[in-house]
Order: sequence, then C-alpha cells, then structure tokens
Amino acid sequence: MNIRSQISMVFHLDKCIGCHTCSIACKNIWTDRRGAEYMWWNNVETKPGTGYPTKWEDQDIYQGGWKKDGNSVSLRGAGKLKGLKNLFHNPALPVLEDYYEPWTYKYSDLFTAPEGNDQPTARPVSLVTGEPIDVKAGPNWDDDLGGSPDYARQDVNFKDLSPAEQESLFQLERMTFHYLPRICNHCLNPACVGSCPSGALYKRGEDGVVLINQERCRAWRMCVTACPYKKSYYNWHTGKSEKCILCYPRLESGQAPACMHSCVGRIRYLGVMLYDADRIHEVAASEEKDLVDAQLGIYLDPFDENVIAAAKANGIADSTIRAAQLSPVYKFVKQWGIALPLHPEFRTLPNLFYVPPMLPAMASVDADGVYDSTTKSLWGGVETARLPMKYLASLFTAGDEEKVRNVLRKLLAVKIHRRDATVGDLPKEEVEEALNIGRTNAAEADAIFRLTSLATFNERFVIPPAHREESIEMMEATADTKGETGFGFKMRPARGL
Amino acid sequence: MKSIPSARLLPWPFLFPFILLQGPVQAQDGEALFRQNCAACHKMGKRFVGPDLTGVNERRDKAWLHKFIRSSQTLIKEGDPTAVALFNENNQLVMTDQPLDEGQIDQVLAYLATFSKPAEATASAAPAGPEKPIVYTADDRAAGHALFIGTRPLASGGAACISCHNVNGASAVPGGGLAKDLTDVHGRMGHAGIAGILGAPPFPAMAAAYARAPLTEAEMHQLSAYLEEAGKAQAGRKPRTALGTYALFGGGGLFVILAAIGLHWRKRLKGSVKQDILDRQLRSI
Repeated sequence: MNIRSQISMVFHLDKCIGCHTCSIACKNIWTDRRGAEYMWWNNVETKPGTGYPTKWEDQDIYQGGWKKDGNSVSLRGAGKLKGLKNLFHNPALPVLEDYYEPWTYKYSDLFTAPEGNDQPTARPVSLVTGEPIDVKAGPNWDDDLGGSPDYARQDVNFKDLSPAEQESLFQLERMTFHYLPRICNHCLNPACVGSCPSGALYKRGEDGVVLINQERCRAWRMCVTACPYKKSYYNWHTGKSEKCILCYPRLESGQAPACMHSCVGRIRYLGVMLYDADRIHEVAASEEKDLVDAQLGIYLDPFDENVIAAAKANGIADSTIRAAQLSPVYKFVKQWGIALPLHPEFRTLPNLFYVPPMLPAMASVDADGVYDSTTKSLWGGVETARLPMKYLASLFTAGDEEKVRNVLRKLLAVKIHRRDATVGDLPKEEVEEALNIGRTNAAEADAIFRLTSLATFNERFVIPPAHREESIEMMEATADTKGETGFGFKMRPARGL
Repeated sequence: MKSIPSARLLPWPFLFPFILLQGPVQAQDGEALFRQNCAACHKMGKRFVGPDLTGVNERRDKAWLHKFIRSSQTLIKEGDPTAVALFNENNQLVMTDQPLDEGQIDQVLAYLATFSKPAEATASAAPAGPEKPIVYTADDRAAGHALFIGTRPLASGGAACISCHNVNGASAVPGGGLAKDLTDVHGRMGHAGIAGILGAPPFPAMAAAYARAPLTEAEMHQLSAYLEEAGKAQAGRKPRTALGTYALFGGGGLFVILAAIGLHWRKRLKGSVKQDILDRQLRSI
C-alpha cells in the first residue's frame, strides 16, 4: 500500500441554482488578466447543452483522456510517440471560437461622446484585438437552454438516446435542465500530466493538487488536448498554459477555494480522501462497466487501523488523517454512495464527485386537453423523472443506469423521510418502503439531510493544515536565519544599539 | 604617449636609403599592383584574355582610364562608346572592378608607361620566347572533371568549382548559380586565361575563397583540359540554367511535403467546432 492524501470535492447538483457566482469569484481572483480573459477555470454549464468549450465531452473531436489499451491505458491524442509526431502541429486543439472571443464594452464612449440627439452606446470590443466585435458566443451562451436548437440539441450525451427520446426532451411538458458546475478534477490519473513533453505539469505530493509550472511550460499545448474535461487553457499572451490551481494559496492558509467559499447554494464540499496510489494503474485500466466501482474502491477507510498505520508510515500527518475522518467527501462518496464522478470513461479518475440532480416529474396533457402536472405521490418517483436515466448515466456512470437510479432512490428516500419527520402527513408504510427502496435508514437519511441542508462552513470544508513550516524545513535550515529578519531599522539610530 | 619611446627605437639610419629611393620604390609598387590585380588577364606586348595595354596611356585619357579601372561595368552601363566597343571586342567579358584608390591607379599607369616603347619592355613582362604548345590528355580531362564536380578534392582543400559554377553536362544536378556559367569558358579565354584566373582570381568572392587554398599548376591544367572538352561537347547548345531546375525540384518537393502533411493530419480539427452555429447567427455590424 502506498497511501497518499488527496483533496477531493463534491458538488451537489440538486442545490445548484446556476448563478455563476463561483465563476465570477474565480475570474476575479485568477483569470482577470491579459491572455486569460477567455479562460473560466470554473464554469457552470446548462445540461442538456454543449458546454464550454463547445462539445468538450466529444473525444472523437478533441482526442482527450485515456483509452484502454490491453491491460493498460494510453492517451488518446497525446503521449510519448503521438506527442512527438504532433509536437509542431497538434491536430486536436480547440480554437478560440470553440471557447469564445472575450470582449468588454467601450464604456469611455458613454462619457466622451459628443452631444447629440441619441444616447451614446458602449460598443463591444474584443479583448484580444481591441477592435469592435460582433458578440456571437460566450462561455455560457446556452444558459438555461438558450439557443437550444443549436446547443442543447447537440449535447454529446444524447448519443445513446433515440431520436424520439431526444425530441421528447424538447417538448414543453417534458422540458428540463440542470446545471453542471465544473472545475479541474485534480484527477488521480491526470491525462494532462501524462501528456506534457516539458514535464511542466505535476501532481502535488501533499494534497494531490495538479499544477502547471509556469517556468517549465513550453506551450506545446499537449495538456489542452489531453485533458478530456478541457480544463487546461493556453494563455496566448504569456505563451504558457494555465489551469485551476484549486486556490492552493487559500488552502494552505486554511481557507476554502474561492469558488466554494462564495457558493450561494452551498453546493460545494471539500475534504481529504486517502487512497492507494499503487492501484491507480490497475483501476484506470479496468473494464468500462467496472470503472466507477473500481475508482470508489481506491479510496480507503480513514478509520481503519491498517490504513492509518500505512498512512503514517508514508509521512501523512496526523492532522491530515483527522481531516480525512471528518471529510464530507468521504461521507458522500463512500459512506452514503450518493456522489458519482463525471465521465468516468475518460479514465482519469477525477476527484470531483457530483450528487446527481433529482429533476421534477413530468407533467402530461390528459384526454380533455388539461395540462396536468400533479403526481400521485409527492415527488412522482425516480421512474417518471423527465430526464432519461440514460442521459444521467452517460454523464456520471459511463452508461450504467442502475447506479444513477440507486442514488436517486436514496435521495428520494431522504426527502420522503424528512417530509415524514417535519410534516408527518405520509403513511408510515410509504416512508418505510421509500427507505427500503433507497437502501437506507432513518439515521442515515437524517445524516444526509443534515450535511446537505444544514452543514456549517467547517463541516462543508474540512481543510487539512498544510504544514508549510515542515515543508520549508525540507528546503532550508530555518534556524540559520532565526533572529536575522523581522523588526529592524532602515536607518541606524543615532544612539543605542 | 607611450608610443614615443618605441618610435625612438626604430632603426632610422637603416631606413634612410629607402627614403632616398622613394621614386623607384613607387614604380616597383605599380609593378606589384599590376601583378596582383591585372596580370591574370593582361600581358604587355601581346593580347591575352584582355587587350594588350602597351601604350594605353597614349590611347586613352587619364580620367577615362581611372573610371574604367575603378568600374568598367558602370561605364558600359552608362553607354560610354569606347567602353561598349571594348566590351564587345573582348567576347563581352566584363573586367572586374578594381579595389584600387587614385594613387594606386596612378602607380599602375606609371608602371604601364614604362612599356610605351616595346624596346624598353623589361624581361619579366615580355613574352618569354615561343610558347610551348598545350597538350591535353584524356587523363587530364577525367581528372579535371573530378576536380570540377568535387569527387576528387583539390590538393589545397579548396571548394569544388561546381559549388558556384555550372558547366553543362558536368553532373546530373546543375552547378551553382552564384558565379558565371563556364561551359564555353575555354573558347573565350583559352588555357592561359583560365590558368591566369585560377592562379590569381580577380573576382572578390573567388579571391577570398581561394586566398588560402591556391590551386596547383597541375590542377589548373587538368581543369582547363576538362573545360575545353566540355565546351566542345556543348558547343552551340543553350546554357542550361540551374534556376529552372531548382525551381522545379523546389516546387515539386514542396508539393510532396504539403501532400504528405495533408494526408498525415487529414483528421485534424479544421476551424471551429461550432462554425455552423456561428454562421447561422445574424450579423449586427
């Protein structure tokens, strides 16, 4: 066993209201720079939709992620030989238009325009060229199903849905959508790290954050191709690639990442997971149907004596093990099993898990032409959900519908149990049956409810101390400089000393 | 100031005779300059590659001579009738521009003036008796060919002729286009002219190239033999220009490379994934 600690995340999609506060918080801190304007290390997509960059999930186009290669995995569009062959011409790079051309408005015109009969306007100008542009796309241009004939209908996850199933999704009575906030997954088997010819990308040993060394990056942009989530971006101004850094300066000082800290819906959870690094290769190369279970199996029980001993032997601090025991991610992913990885078929073993959304039951038009949105039971049930289970399975379980269904059943059981606990208007048998179908019990349902709805800041973000004081001692002898810096004089005082 | 003591140490007494003999020394300078810059093409008392220069001071005026020596090509371009006539008389072979200053040209002309009467010609510049007939053997021609195309290196290690010169039929690939085509050079200049130019190249680039790598007499003879044969074999044919062949090879090569690139990366992403979406939108500006 080679136990390491990994900062992992859970996004609870049922709670996401699509306000983009996370994106703005991130943008204001990290990507409000020349060359980075088009980057959204955190973005929120509407699903169904094509996302950002357009159709990022379609690896036939972008050649990202790993593919199974016998008993191993190989990068689809990058790697040693493929990367070398394509070093000077990477054939699967997204262009700026696949993201969008960033723009601002010429606000100064509002103040400097000569007096006239018309109101002055602030024209949009490109942040790349500075010329006036015709704004045709943005990072969330298809928000709330806007422009759905162009965007939502081209959703890559529709590939397994029949044309009739797809068409029905766009009927007024059945129409539905949810949000999908995305940041870098800080994967256990990161394709970006595997693809970099310069060795500029690395996964931090202490917490698994994946970073790009800006001094070693040589702009080959293999990571842009290799990341199947398209979360590595090329900065055209600096000539280096950049990506989400999980706000590591904030993590090191005990603060939650900005996107999580600012989340209005409080959908985000962050905590430590302990995993066995020796098994990464085997897990990434498992059969597609086993991928989710295999990945969940790599995370270890932080209460297990053997795991704790092995973790300590590997240099993991006691405080980190304590954080792993309190980790909300461990609860969602391992204890309750209601959070799933996004697109596990990319085989990067992402460390960002999603609680799938419970979407409203469908309405119907009856024989008399009456639009009927009532359901027999309180929430209609998982089977009558508007969004086909196939669609959610394509997002979260590589096509395994049963896994998504089980999660949704448990979430429904929690709701029914809490209805029973707070209002008490449901027959006891119905509540019992829901808990049985959801494979849960009243105590677990209460725990899920508590962490979902009432969790405090410190419960949602269990950040292990970074122990920077120990890190710096590995690099230099701090005692040598003790007493040398700190309070002093710029000009020597006339008396004293 | 530090140079003063060392100047005092100069052997002034020994230099004195040379200072007294300044006049003759100057004439000797003219002779040296002539040998260095002119003798490859000009001989006194007989026509060589260029015309005989005996009595040239009387034939032309001084200002014209200065201009012509400095840059005969400029005079020809300007349409000076004498210069153009000379150019045509001498197989349209241009005289190289001479990097001499006014004083040096005067020295050379002063030296030439000593030949105004053929009787006064010194032994060194006079034709040395009846010339031996030049005989080229088959071995000479083969050796010359090998030297020309570079399969046999020059004894001094200098660059092969083909680097800069073309001779039709010398090799499959045409020779360099930097310098003049030499296919009919033997017809124009003969053995003496070729040997003269090879011995003391009057062209700046060639002079620099062979300054430290002079050809041997045997090599000059062999090259001359080869050039005579090449000139005869190619007589009357149009000179093959390297430019066209290179353009053909270059263009063809480019096409092959582009085709290979296009084939290898035929599945590359071309344009934006959502170009159809962008195209569908109305323009507002």
